Amino acid sequence: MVGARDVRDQIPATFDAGRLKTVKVDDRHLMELNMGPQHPSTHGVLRLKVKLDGEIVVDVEPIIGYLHRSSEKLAENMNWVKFIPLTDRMDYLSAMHNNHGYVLAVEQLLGGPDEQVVSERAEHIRVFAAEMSRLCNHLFWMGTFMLDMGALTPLFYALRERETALGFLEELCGARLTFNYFRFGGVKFDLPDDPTYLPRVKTFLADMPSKVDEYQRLLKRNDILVGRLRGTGPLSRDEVLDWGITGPMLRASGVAHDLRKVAPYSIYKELDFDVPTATESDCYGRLVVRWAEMVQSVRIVQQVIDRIEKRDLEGLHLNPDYAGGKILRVKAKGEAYSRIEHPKGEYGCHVIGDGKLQPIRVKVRAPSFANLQVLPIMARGQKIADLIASLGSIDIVLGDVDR
Amino acid sequence: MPEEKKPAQDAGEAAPRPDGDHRALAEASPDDVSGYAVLEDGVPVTEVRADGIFSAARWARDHGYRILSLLSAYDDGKTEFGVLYAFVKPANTPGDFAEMRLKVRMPRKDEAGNDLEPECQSIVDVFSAADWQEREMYDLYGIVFHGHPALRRIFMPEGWSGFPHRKDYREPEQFIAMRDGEDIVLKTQEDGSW
Repeated sequence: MVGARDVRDQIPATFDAGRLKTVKVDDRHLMELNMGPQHPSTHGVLRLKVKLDGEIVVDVEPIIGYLHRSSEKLAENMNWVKFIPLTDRMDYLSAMHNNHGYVLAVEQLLGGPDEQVVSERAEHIRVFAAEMSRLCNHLFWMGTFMLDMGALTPLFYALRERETALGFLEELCGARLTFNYFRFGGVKFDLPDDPTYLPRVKTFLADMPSKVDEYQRLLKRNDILVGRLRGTGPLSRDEVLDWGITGPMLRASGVAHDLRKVAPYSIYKELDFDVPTATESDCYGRLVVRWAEMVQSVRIVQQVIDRIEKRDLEGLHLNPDYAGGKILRVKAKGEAYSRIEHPKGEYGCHVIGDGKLQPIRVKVRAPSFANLQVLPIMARGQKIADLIASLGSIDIVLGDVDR
Repeated sequence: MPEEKKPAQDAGEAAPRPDGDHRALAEASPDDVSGYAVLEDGVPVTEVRADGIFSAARWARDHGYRILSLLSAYDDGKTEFGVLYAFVKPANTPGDFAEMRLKVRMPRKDEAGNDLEPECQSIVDVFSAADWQEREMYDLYGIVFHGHPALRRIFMPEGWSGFPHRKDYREPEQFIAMRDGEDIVLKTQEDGSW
């Protein structure tokens, strides 16, 4: 057993490349390189075991589990409602969507497929919060993705807008990252009483498309960046489908599969928005799709605000029939799965209950987990620097991968 | 979701009857299919035998269900383990969306009352996406997916004993933790604390 001090003593004063591990495959000497678990471009504690032939990636194996907190097991030991804040901590960059997916699944148990559990007003507030959250997620993704590519500036542009948007969410529910906002039967708080709230959001949204234009002017015209992203991390339509990729990655390969459109939940059926796709199916295509999705999110929130202001939406923000624990004890029985379009892909919860206050099983279908396993396909045969680009283009959060 | 409507039920009591692709699957491979049910969210699910899930999954893929959406295991704590699969048709236009759910149920005990380990066919050969998902379910529930190329733990450390999501899982009696750079052994106290 060695202490930390002894280990430090063992590190040679000068770095010796000869100590690096090499393996021999087909007469080629491959270098085995460990990236992570502590590495700035892995967005958390992800370890990549890379086999390199010179600078070319021969194989890469993602090793995960460093952030495994077993949230799903914790869920089995707590009240259904108490699990909502834990979903926040999975994908902490779009916590609203995690809330939404879990709450929808449990509402299926409580109300069934046809019962109107959530009032119209609450549905509007939910979509408002979710789309603002999607905007924040894509902004932050763009910033960190560019950071991976070696560009520091876009992060500050992105955080400038994200900061404002998070401010609005903070006014809505009091938190900036882990919102814990959705409840069975609605949301925790109604819209703020402040009469300037919605007008301020509207001003921000009106500005947002020009901000997206600004990012595009900054990045699209940068030949180095575009040349670096075009053709990097390619995935064919077949590969994408075979590996169960969902979300912007799927749409960047030309499949307009967006659950908000094809299997609408909440009020998305009544809203007018497009599903952006790209045909490049490389890192550049994924960037373009997410830019376009930001603009669509802005459109959706604008429509939702219009509807909240113009129509006298009926109902409370929280349906009292579903808010208490009593109904869970009576009706949280059976099995359900519900899926939503998370900014990263399909997010769903598979819940099983037996009429007690604790669930039997809560399984979270995490988009980051499902999307990350395609990384070897994207990276094989490319340069090691492109491995970072491919990894960044997936948009993973390790809290979501490991849960 | 046109294909997901609850099958017509006469007077509430009659068992739901499969329709659409669920009926087609039951007719195509009657040996693999063992039951049919409708979940609380109104989506039907076909129950498949553990040694028939591979061909059922291949049938689903050949009929357009290209995306493996969900692969989730459960342990009901009493009688059985189960794995729920959901396959989705990639849709380009609204209304094309369709979902096919399959379920494999594995009893905990055989007729003689002996404990059974849950075993099931792997579907990695038809859906590459099942690779990690099956490893996850093996890691947490100990469900052995026959035919998986590298079925090993994915979240828990290699060499961990037991399958933590099983209802009868006991926490290990001691942990190796680190304090001030030194490894120390923590043992469970009588009251469950460390």
